[in-house]
Amino acid sequence: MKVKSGSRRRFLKTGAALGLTAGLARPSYGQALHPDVINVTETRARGLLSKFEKSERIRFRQSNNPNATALTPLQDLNGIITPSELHFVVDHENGVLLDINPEDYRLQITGMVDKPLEFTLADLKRMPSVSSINVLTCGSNGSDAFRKGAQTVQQTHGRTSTSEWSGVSFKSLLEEAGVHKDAKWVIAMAADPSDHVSSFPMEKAMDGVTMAAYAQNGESLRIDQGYPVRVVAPGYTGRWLVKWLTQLYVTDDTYVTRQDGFNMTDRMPDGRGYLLASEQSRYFRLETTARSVITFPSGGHQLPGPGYYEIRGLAWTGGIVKRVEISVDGGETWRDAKLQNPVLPYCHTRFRMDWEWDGQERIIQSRCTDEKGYVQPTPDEVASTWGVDSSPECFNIMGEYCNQVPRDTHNSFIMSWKIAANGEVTNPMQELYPDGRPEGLSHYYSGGHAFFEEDDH
Amino acid sequence: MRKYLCSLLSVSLLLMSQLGLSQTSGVGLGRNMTDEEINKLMYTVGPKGVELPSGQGTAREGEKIYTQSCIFCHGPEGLNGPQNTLKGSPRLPMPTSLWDYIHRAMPRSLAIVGAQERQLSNDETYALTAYILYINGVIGHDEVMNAESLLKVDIPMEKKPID
Repeated sequence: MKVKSGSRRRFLKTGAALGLTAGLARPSYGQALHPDVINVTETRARGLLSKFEKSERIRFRQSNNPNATALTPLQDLNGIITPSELHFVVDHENGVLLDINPEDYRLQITGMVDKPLEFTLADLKRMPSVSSINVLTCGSNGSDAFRKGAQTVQQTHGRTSTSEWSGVSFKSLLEEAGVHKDAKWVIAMAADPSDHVSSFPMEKAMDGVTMAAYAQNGESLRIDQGYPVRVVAPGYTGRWLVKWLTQLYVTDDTYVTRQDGFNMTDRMPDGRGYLLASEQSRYFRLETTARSVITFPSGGHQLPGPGYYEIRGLAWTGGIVKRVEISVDGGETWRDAKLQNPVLPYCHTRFRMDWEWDGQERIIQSRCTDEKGYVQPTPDEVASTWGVDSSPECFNIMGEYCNQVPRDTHNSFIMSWKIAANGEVTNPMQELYPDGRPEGLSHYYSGGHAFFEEDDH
Repeated sequence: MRKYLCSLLSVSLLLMSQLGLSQTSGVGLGRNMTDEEINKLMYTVGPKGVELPSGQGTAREGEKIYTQSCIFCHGPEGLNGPQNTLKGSPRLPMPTSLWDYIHRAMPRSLAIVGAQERQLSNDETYALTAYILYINGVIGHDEVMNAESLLKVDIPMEKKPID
């Protein structure tokens, strides 16, 4: 942001009036550095972080013994790559991680194929490879923003991370096996014994990027990311991205597994029940929709005082981020933030904005616009527009015309942070929504781990 | 059912490749699986039920298994357990999705009750599926669920009216 010379002079004058030194006011630190030393007596096989760095994953809320659930400390990170060991994990395995021996690992391609094939890990690594920098987001990411005790962006939005994933595309594997022309779906099955079987429309499976990934940020997957092989389907919600992948089962029918049900059924707004979204795969809500969140300043940060800050955050969508705007007055006015280049599809995009904090209490927000022109909504806006009708005209269930392929709008609402006059940054969502999450938002997040759902009384 | 599926697949695969109805290209990696291996695999069950194995069960039989293996997590008659409710308004329309999930993922491993997935027989899976359909008023107590009858079950997705 260009500072006009006039205003700079005014700022300097103010600084002088406050008794600060001439030129831009800077704090003075004094003291020469007297560091501890580490004696290196043999090659350090893997680089370690300084003992002074404490950033780590945490678990937030309790459910189903998810000891392996781990949230990314977004408030501490820079750029767009999440360090592999800080990648989020959502645990559906009751705290059990599979510890697969790569020699024993096999991937089978079965169903409507000419030649059902089995690959070893060595085979997979010989196959032509692909690589893609992609964001993974749990569909529920953001839902905890309204929850009591959720203070940091790690706690509210920590179920999202970006890595460079490398592996073999589904397309290469399917062409190897010879997929039948009338096949329509590819079902990914896993070694984990739980609910992770997810269906991919053939168009997605054959896009050349959707892959059986065996590498994360250059090296093998972390154990909790599904070592040795997991699915990475750019733009799809996390639940689709099966870990410990063992089989690709090719079918001509929509299977709607328990896993799939989350995004293939919608709760009817009048409470009549659920409806299965259209058979046409594009009407299922498989891709993430436009989201963003400010990571600095965010809950738990303490601003030392008025002055210059760079507001930073992350934006992402099932397609590509086109624009991010920031408001420092609770959503009344908005200004464009700068996007870090290159802006990649299906990937975290870092945004930045120069800002002079005047020391007043502020509610700051970010909102993302994607390549379809879809603008990230407020919680109330999401609540009022949920529901997608399965008719080809794509009227939503409220009778409003929606001229776009529906994406998974779960919890993609605009997030607010509150900066107090003393510089303390907190999560104001409980305060802004004292009745809790807007009701329609809950309905749209039709996630429920159920075949039959308890009736409300 | 599996054997039938397997031979059907083999014949149709042969025909398909003869008639040029499939696309095969590639670098020649991966090992061809044998018929026996294909037969032994567990497949996700779809709405046409081609993957459903032989076997059968009723809700009455399922209730006995439920009391031994399921009640700790799901509660009596599917309510008030620490884990997911099994009784209420339906979320998924296909009874095959229910059979599929029970078969490959139940009972969930939990150290405290020594549970282990994929130990249920086909008969037990049919019986438990029948029981869950029964407690939700979809089928009768003694209706036999098997590979054919399960496909005829219609799970209405409308929420039940509250009395």
